[in-house]
Amino acid sequence: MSDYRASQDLIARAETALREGSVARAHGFFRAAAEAQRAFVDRLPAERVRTRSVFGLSAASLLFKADALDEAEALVHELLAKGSLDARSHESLRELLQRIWNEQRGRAAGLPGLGDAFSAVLIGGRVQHGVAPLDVVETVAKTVTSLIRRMGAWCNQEDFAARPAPAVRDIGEAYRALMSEPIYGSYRIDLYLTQVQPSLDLGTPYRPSATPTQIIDSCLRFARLVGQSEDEAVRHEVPDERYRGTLIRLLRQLVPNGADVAEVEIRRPTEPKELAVRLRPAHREPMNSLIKALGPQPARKPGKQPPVLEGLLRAVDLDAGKLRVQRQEGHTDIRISDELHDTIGPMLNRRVVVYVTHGRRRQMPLAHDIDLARQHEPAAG
Amino acid sequence: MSHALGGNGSSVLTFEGVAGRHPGLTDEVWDYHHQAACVCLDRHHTPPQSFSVQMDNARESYAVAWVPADTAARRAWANSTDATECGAYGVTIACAERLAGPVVVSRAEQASGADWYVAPCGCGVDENGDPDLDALGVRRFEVSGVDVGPVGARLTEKKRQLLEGQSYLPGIAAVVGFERAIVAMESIPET
Repeated sequence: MSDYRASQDLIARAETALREGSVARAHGFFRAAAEAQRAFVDRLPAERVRTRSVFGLSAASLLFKADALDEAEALVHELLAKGSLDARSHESLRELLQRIWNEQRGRAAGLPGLGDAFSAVLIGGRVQHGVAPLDVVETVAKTVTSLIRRMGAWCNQEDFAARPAPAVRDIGEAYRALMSEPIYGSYRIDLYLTQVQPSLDLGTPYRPSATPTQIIDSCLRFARLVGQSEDEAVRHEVPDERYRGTLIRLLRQLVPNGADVAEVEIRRPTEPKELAVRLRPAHREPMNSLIKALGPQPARKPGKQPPVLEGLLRAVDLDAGKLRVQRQEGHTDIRISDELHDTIGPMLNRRVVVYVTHGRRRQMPLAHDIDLARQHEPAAG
Repeated sequence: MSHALGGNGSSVLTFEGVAGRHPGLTDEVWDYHHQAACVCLDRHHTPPQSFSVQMDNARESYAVAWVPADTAARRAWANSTDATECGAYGVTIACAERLAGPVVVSRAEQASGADWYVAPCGCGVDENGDPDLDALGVRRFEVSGVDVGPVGARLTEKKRQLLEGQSYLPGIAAVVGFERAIVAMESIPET
């Protein structure tokens, strides 16, 4: 049997072992498959560039799957150094190298692995390979972190916290969030969620924390339902209206404006693109409708539309629960409802629209929704 | 693969002996995907089931016949996502061969997931029978499965994936709708 055919059988055996839960056996088969494919590549004549490229990358990927990170790294370097591969395989090898390094760094930091990851891929608009507008990247990174934090709290059945935790790095006590470098090719941010040893709370019965995989599953499932405007399914997925309203607003914050970014793709980095949730400008209006239909309802007279204020968000005081919007006619101080705290951070010093209700005279208006002003955005639909 | 006519007049398509006609498939690899295909088909149908199979302008109806999966196989493929993905490989490989003739010349691991390569029968392999992706006629084969629901959006995604993918090769995007009993395939030119 040729090395190539031997590698195919070994891959099939590795996948069967994985399905049976025998991870160590699967690693052994993947490693053997990698060695067989490498032997196949080594015997190929130099002029068969495409075949060498595809199976060189394949052998390195198999070593990664075998959890042989050092060997995978060495093979990627060797393939890149030889330079006899096609250009697109170079890109894929660099991306694989990034994943290997991320995994190695996580382990060097004492983590059992990088846990699970959530990718946000920025596509189109002013995004180029590895380069994207700074404010967009900052907004996406903060919003994804907030989304995972809130979903983590929901999965762990915590009471809704009006003010998000100040820590950026840690998500509660049980998790750590690690951001990768931008991934080569378009602009992709991977946020790894790793479970760390939870501290024991002796005052309450012990309940295992949700795993990173459960939290990221929940994020992606919820995003998919919101993207499809499945009202009832969204309500069923997160019955608590404050959590639900916050999570939908966070997803809305990821919706691109069409000019800077045409599309935001969210998925696991290891999942195929076709399983991704794709957010486009046309998703904004359906999400606004979802927020109105499924979020907490502000007290106002039936049929009356809430006043809208547009201006520059100049100050935020989350402890006091208020913000200041600068408009042509002067500034306006506004109280904010609990569901808005997670989304406000990236809006500071940017133009926003605030939907308010007015209470008694002399009382500050109450914001029950806030969003970035989208004057350059194409019409929804 | 039998060419007998099914009960409704369409020709019968079975999964027996497929590996022998595809230089890139070993018996073990084919058995793996064949078993997943049976589990996925069992979810919605009893054999034989008429499937509408289309690629570009060609369209045929086949009476797909299979042996229902046993309990052990169903248990082994309890992960619905994995079963749908691997089952889709099994169904599309058999249907593409029958409708348009390409055979699998190789499967390669990529950074995530696998890529399949197909070529007209007799092409895409070297003198040892190993894959030669530098040969004329080799195409990528991007496959996906949809357990329940329409396949159009997924086919569009697969086409886009081929156009934006890590290869200059032309390709075929293919999606199986298991519940809807449809296989939709479309050719993509070299990028």
